[in-house]
Amino acid sequence: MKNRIQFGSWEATALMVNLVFAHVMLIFPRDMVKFGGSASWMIPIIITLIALGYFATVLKLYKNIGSLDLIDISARIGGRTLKVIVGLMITVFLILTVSIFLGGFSQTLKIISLDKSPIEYVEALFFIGMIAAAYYGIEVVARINSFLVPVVIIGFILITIGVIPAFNINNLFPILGEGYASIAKGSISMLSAFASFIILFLMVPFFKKKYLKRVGFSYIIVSGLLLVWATLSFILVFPYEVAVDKKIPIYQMARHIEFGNYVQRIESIFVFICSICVLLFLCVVFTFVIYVFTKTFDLKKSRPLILPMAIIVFSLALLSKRTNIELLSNNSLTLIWLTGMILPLLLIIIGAAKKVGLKDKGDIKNRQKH
Amino acid sequence: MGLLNSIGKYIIYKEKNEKKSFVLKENTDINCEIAQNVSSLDVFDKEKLEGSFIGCPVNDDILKNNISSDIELNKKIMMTTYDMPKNSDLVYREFNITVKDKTLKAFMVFIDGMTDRTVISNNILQPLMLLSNLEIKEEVKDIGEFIFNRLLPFNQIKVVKDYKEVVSNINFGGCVVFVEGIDYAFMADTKSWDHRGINAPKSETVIRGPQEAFNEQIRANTALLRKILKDKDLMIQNVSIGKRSNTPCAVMYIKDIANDSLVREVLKRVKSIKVDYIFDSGELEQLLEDNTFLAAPQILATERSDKVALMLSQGNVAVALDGSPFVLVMPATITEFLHTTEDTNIRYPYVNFIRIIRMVGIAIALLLPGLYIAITNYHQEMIPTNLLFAIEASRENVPFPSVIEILIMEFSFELIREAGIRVPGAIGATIGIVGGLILGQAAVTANLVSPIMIIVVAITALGSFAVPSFSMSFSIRIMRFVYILLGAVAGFLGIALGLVLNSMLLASSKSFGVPFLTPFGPVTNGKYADKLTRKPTWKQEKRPDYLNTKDIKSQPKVSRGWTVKDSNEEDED
Repeated sequence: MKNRIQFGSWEATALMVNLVFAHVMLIFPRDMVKFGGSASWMIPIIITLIALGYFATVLKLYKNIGSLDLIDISARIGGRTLKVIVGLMITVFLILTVSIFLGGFSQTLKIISLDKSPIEYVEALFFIGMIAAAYYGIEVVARINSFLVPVVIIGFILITIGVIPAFNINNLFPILGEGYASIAKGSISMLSAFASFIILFLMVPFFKKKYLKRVGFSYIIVSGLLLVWATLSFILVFPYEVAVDKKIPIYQMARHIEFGNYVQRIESIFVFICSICVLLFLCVVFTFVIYVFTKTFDLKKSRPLILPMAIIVFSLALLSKRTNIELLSNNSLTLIWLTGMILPLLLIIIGAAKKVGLKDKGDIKNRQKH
Repeated sequence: MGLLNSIGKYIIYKEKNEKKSFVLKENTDINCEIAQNVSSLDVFDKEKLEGSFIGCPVNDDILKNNISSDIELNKKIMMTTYDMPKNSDLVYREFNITVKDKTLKAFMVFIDGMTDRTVISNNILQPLMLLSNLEIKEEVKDIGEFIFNRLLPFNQIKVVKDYKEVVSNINFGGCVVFVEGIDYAFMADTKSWDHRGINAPKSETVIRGPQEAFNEQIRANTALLRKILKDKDLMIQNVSIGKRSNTPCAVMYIKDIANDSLVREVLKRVKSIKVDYIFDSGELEQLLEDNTFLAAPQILATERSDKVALMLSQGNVAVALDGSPFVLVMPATITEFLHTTEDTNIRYPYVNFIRIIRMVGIAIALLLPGLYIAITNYHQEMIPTNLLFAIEASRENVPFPSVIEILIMEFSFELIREAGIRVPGAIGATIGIVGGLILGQAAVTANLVSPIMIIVVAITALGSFAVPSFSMSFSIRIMRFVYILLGAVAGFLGIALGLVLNSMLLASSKSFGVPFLTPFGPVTNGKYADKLTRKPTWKQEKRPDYLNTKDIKSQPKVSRGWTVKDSNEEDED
């Protein structure tokens, strides 16, 4: 399949950062607090370091892979059969992600803003965005991420700056919170925030391979900083005992903003930036669902797939509507999210061992010379 | 008698003369090919067809033929082509030329009103009729060459060999001279007609900067650009558009800056247009643009010569059309529609200040009514309590929901704007009074709208006036209505959805191969210093990266030589 999609490292980084940042908009800070208590801010640092280590390892292995994505790697390793298996696994994983997050986000917005509207109505609005994104394709979605994600992040930072007067340093004590074991458990469990790695390795052919290092590291560092800052500001505002009960942490933080008579209760700004962030998240993941499925089965056209896939996602989101928000913090399910890191790692290790990116003799010779 | 007649009219009925009414008949389909050759053919209705030949247009194939040395044939073709003498502004003048005791028949054709009569009389007719009678000392080998070299003392004269070129030149103010025995004609560029002078721009006014706008004359426009750029590499390629009108059009670019493929694409698109007539660059814009249904414009139309010159110097391509005071520049990305030429002329701190104001104005023009609806319907908690009471009190007696209220107001405002443009100048002030009184005072007094809504619409209107581009302003006005509806159906989520969809729509569109949202989406590399804000003039070292220009550098790293310490100065120290 000839690839004509191309975008730069900025677009790719912005897109990837938003995939992690969307977790912050939902329940990530609260889950951190659940695991780490007053030491919850350590968990994002640890998971960022793990993610950095993971990516550094993968990057080394990628030298033997070239600019191939996960589907191409699986095709080179095990032929069409493995390609279809891996392609379907990724599709299912992404469909699961997009449908659970669609339900979760819709429920969040219903709680905080559209309380009189039925959940289906809220989901339908996201549904429109997802369909449009899949129609325009990955390139366009990446482009809009490049300028909308910075807006979202600035909005989030402004919210957190707004609650600085409510910070209480005592909330950070005891320093180690619930202890080493709890922090370690939380670090493994919350590594799911970086499940979006799978999308990074699907995007490699879209930007030049030399940018993989730049994109990967900047994505992990920026996302890590955002995770740390979100968790830190959350735990600084709410004491541990209160924080674990807050369902939508950033929204709850935004409610605390109060500067005089005229700047208060601006939590609706959260609704605005959260909606943009969520729409971008769903657009990206759903566009990749269509892309992966099309590529797996070497389909010439992807547009006929959009509506059926969207209906599947919509139905799945509705099926789990009662448990959506809780589903996102379900421990056993969090481990499933790790597929996003484990599956690429396995494929890349095998691919690197088989030197799938250097299939052409000329390439191998060139590498030997160097 | 008169009195009797008048009384008689009331007593005796007299049938009125029936008024002959005109009926627009369908054209009878004449086979012009048969009609033209009817004398040699044996066909039915021969007599009728012979008469109808005069109504047949001269076939293009005939005009493609080379000029004949038979002056009678040339005369016949010119007469038929222009349907002379029925065509009143066509001037046909026969005369004789004497060359070495030999008298040759000649005639000239030109259009009265488009040509300079004095020039034709003094520089063409007079020499041909009088100079030819002087004694000729040298031997005349070629009569045509002799006439060209000795008898036509006119600076812009050329030889044309086919009728098509003759006709297109006559249509554009040329004067053609046919001479017996010569199989070509002499074409003098005698065009001269009344036209508007170079005035100050009307739709793109600036305080700091040149005050010259284009006019309807293509040559004056190209000359303006030459005058500003003074660059030998400025290319002005002529193309004519319109099968019938042959309207002159100039494709302009700087050959060692503009991307070759871009120039080729523009030329290809311009040359490929097949219409009978073209009247304005607005029509041309619609024929050249990539996406017809996108709300945002994709080609910049400007009446400012300095703006076109600036964009040409960056590597863009411009297209000027005769008869239009607006020149098209392509490719155009979002930044071009948000900047003015004044931005380059005013100082660095001022330009960035004014650009921030402009961006805020544009955001207000696009989103304020939608945000107002979203906040008042879904996110009331955002409004400070005192303000909320004030809004509530002002809306107490208004019977409509706020969305209907704002739609009424926005529609009324658009109506006033449209009427303000169409209304004759003399009664233009009335629009302000009617609009201001009805919308402002009466509507509030009648409790049709709330005062807060008037403020929202007024601020929105001010914001929309800050949009520098006329076309872009249209786009924002249309999108504003969409945001109002989205704000009404889902609050901030609706607005966010609108922003994402709108961004996708714009990000997917291209202007001559350049994505419309460049340099923001995709983000381009390079150090192009004039994006949302502008860097100091001395830091604008590179041309826009997305234009893939041949020469990316517009100035060296150190453009202010005086900032570098001079070696002579060092010695002096």
